[in-house]
Amino acid sequence: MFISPSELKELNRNKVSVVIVGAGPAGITIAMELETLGIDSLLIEAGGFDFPDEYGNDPYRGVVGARPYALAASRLRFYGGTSNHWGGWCRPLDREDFKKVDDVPLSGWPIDYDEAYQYLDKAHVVCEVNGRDYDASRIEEIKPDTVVPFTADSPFRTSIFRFSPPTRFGSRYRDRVSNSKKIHCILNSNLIKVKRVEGGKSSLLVKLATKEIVEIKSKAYVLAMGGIENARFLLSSNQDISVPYGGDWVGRCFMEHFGFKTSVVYAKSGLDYRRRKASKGDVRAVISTAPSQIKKGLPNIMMGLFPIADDQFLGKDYSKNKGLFDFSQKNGWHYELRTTVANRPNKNSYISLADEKDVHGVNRINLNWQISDEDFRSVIKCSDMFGLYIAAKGYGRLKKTNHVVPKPDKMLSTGMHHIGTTRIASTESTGVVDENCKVFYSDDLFVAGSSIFPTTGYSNPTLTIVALAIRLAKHVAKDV
Amino acid sequence: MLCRRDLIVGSIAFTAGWVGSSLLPNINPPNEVSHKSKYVDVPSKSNFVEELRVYALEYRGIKSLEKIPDGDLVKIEEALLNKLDQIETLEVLGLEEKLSFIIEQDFISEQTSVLEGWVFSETELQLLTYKKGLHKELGIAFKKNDTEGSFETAKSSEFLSVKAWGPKKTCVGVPFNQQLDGHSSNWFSIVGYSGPLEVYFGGKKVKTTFKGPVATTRIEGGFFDDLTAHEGEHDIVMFNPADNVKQKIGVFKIASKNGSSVTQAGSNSKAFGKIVSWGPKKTKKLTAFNIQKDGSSALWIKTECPSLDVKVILGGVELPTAIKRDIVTARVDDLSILKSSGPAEVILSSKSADEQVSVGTFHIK
Repeated sequence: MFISPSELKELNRNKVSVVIVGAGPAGITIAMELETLGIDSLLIEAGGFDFPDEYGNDPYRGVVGARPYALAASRLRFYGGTSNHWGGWCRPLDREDFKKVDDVPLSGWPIDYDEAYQYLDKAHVVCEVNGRDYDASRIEEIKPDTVVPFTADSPFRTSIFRFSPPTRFGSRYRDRVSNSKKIHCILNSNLIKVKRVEGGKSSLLVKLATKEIVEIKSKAYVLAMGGIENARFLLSSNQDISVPYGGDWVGRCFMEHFGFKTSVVYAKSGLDYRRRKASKGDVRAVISTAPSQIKKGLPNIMMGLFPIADDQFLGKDYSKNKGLFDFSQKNGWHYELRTTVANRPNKNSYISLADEKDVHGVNRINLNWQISDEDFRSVIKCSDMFGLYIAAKGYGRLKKTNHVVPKPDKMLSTGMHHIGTTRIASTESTGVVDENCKVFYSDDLFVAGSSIFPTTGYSNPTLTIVALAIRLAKHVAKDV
Repeated sequence: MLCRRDLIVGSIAFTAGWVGSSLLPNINPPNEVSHKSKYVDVPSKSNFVEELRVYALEYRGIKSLEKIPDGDLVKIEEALLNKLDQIETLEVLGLEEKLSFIIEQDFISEQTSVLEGWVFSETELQLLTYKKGLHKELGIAFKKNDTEGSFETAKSSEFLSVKAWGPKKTCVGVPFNQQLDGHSSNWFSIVGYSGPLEVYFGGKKVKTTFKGPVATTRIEGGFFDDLTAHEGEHDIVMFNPADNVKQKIGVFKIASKNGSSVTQAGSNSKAFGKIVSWGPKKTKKLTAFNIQKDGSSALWIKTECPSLDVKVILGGVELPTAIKRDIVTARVDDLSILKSSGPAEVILSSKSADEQVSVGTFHIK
């Protein structure tokens, strides 16, 4: 049910079992899962039911480092969170994304794929995705002649994205929250601080719509505010306490998916890497790095080929030269090779607190997103490798169009995915939360969302966020 | 069946590695060509010399020889023939099979060269240089290949499905679906097609952008002026330049204005055709008229080909204005503009044309 500030005070006197801050995909999923398990929760949302006004959105303003980044536009501060502008792309991370790679510092999760995705089926249901199969070879609508062929020993593979309608968590689950007796949701209430109280316990200072600040106590707290806000509030809350929540890694290793166009490809006409209809919902084929190459340190990259205008030098009938191509009966065409990849974990890519404070008196953030030259070079290397592969196989040729590492101040197209700032780890020496997403140096504070991903591939994070949110709810339920 | 794993170069066996080997090129004997007998200067013992020369001269898909580096024809031929002769096989292979194998191995071993950005195998680039040299030496003109298709020669084919498109008409000189920067635009919702696509209006290619399943045209400048200069109909055709096929999507109509309104400056309006009818023409002081669902009052004006940036001005007050086909509607939200009795002039205004046209007089009683 949605509650008023006065009802919140009443609720606070009786203590709710779990407090969740942030009513986005993670927060709403946790609240619903806890409800299923018979646990009551308080869901605190900073915004209302619609786009906030300038005052409401003020906390999302911040400072960025050399590389421009749309801090405010990449987030939505109202009920449903960023699901309100989600494109619906769904795909679990690959098994390799969870593994440590020797040549990639800070790589690897403390839990494996099977542990992380215990509730993957349920996550699909929550995200309203019908299909579960991500094997391109089993999806009839991905016709073999519309994608570049790969075999088991190829350096690349064809992977699949599926699509949520997309689920707008705010509107889709509003009635469920409204009718629930276990979920208490208060809107227009801003977290001010996570406060340490006695015995490793915490409490939350929350500013209500009435401008009154109340201290909320519970058995467990989940920060589900998004990949930037989760870190901001831990950093902010750590300013005046001797044992900081999560240790030194809070805010470190900010990652984001970015696009980088390196090449044009000549290949047979009719290749199709766009979203297409399929019996169990729309799918989209992508080219991605094969496990054998990820083990060697190449990034798990996503590539797609999209038709562009004819080339000035290489004509479409180059394929007609006998012996050179496996599609000599067909004309070829030119495609833009679009790549998407996340930067690898890097301690120097971080969120810190700016001196300036927002309208609620909480420090704004300073985002210093660093993509190493090596990250860009590895994309170029993948592109070149793909070029050699298709050329050797007779599938096409590659044209290098942009093989220069972009300057640090160049704005990149991004996925608006904020990853890595409260990373999951076995110990506090490399992360902020433990295997159960509990913040190191706390007994009752948990984090949900993509901020816990210590490494990531190219997959969009929402499906994984939801799967891990269900897992977290199950764990928290045991704790309370 | 012979596969490339059976090939041995010198004493070194090639391993396929991750590339594997799956190509079995189609081998056809080269056609007899007239230049064959002319080229006699280069001595060679290779069995492939004549075939190689024909292959190189017939090598296609390159739009210009200018960008290809020059080289010593004799040395390049010798180098190519040496490569071909070095391949020993269990079965007799033709030129194209051998070239295919050599080029494949070039890519596997990263023996590549970049020309105009394109990554070619070293042998492939030698072939291009060789081709250029042969054309020069034999005085054979370089021609773009016959299969290089064009819109004019493309075959008609139903190669895609357009679910919906628009606008389908405008009036002489009037922008349509005008965008923020002033250009006119059509949109096409395309189903189940992922290939290259060009859009032609009356046989002329128009700038087109694709985003997802929607293509949008950009019509502006001289092209817009020419397109909308006269009454008429223009076929809209989509062209797939890869497969050289085209499909007629429909007809874009340029309608006549049947005359223009006269601007307040006394000239014929570019932005507005004739005012056909309009209403209501009167109300009482502070009294709503032609009441809409939202409670507002509304004026309507039927006019031919109104400018898309049209605004209605009533008694000097600009009203919120909408346009649907040839009907312009304007909303009166605040009845205080009707507080004084007397005549109030109704005007159509277009900022882009810098014009105002008088519609008539609205009487407030």
